[in-house]
Amino acid sequence: MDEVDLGDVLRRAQRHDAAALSRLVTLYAPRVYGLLYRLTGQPETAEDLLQETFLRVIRSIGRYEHTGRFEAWLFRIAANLARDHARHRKRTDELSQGASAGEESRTEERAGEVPDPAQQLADTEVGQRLAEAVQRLPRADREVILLRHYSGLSFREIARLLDIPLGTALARAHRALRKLRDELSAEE
Amino acid sequence: MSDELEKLERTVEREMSVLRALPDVAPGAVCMGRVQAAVLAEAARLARRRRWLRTIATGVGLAAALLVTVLAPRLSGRRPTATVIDPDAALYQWSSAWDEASMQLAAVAEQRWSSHSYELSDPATELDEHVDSLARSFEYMGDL
Repeated sequence: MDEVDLGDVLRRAQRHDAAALSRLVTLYAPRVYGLLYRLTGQPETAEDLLQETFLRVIRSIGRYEHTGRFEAWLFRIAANLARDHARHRKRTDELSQGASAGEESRTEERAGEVPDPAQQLADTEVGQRLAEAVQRLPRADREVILLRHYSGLSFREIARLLDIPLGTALARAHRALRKLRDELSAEE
Repeated sequence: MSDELEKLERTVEREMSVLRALPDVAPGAVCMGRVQAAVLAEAARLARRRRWLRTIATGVGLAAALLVTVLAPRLSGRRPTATVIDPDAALYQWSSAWDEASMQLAAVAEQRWSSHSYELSDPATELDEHVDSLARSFEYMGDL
């Protein structure tokens, strides 16, 4: 969709035009879902967060000023929801298991359980190994590369979205991608 | 951007190619239907709230204008006198007070609602309470 069309859709969406809102969901839900699925590792959680993302969008779209990067605003909402979910889940894990500080590694492992058998059947072997390796990455590193992969935003825009320096975003991405490459090479 | 950062960014962009093998994942049809339905339901709810806020703002503004017109001479200490009322001036006074009260009320309601939009708690409940409070005020003024 070109910028002129998107601008028109957003203007109508700001007036809560049903067709425009539906169009935004159709256009962006697959990529947002992809991000949320890979961040959480859980299809059901990703679906819930997907719905919440678009509800947040519609509640605040009246204040959105379209300066050309709707994706930045949309994916910021999705990423923040995923972070809130991870924090809430970590607190729940700590309370239920009496875990000490530093339980994030255990939480990350549980997030790495990708239980969708239908998805696994559809994936190639390499793709499946890659997906599992992505889930094992530290959350902060995983977040940067998945945002780049699904949102299409530049690393500069992602750094702004995550409120971190560009150098930090690039360092996290570089570390994550190198680790993925090493893991895939080691398994061949 | 410094040269080092530019160089690092170019390197990382090349390295991103490793993710090409990441399998596509897509929401199922049931999920998409659920999200679409939820979005449209929320849009309808927000539209109803806007209409209700406009109605209340109009009513409260009108009541406020009436109060201003009735009470102003008494508050100023003047004895009511039999005077010829200029209908145009009275209408202008009413409509100005009405407009100002409506705008202020709508701005406050919108501001309070918007400021809570990003919080995890549902702003709908708080706004509903405001709307109910305004409705009760409107009923009270209507009784005057």
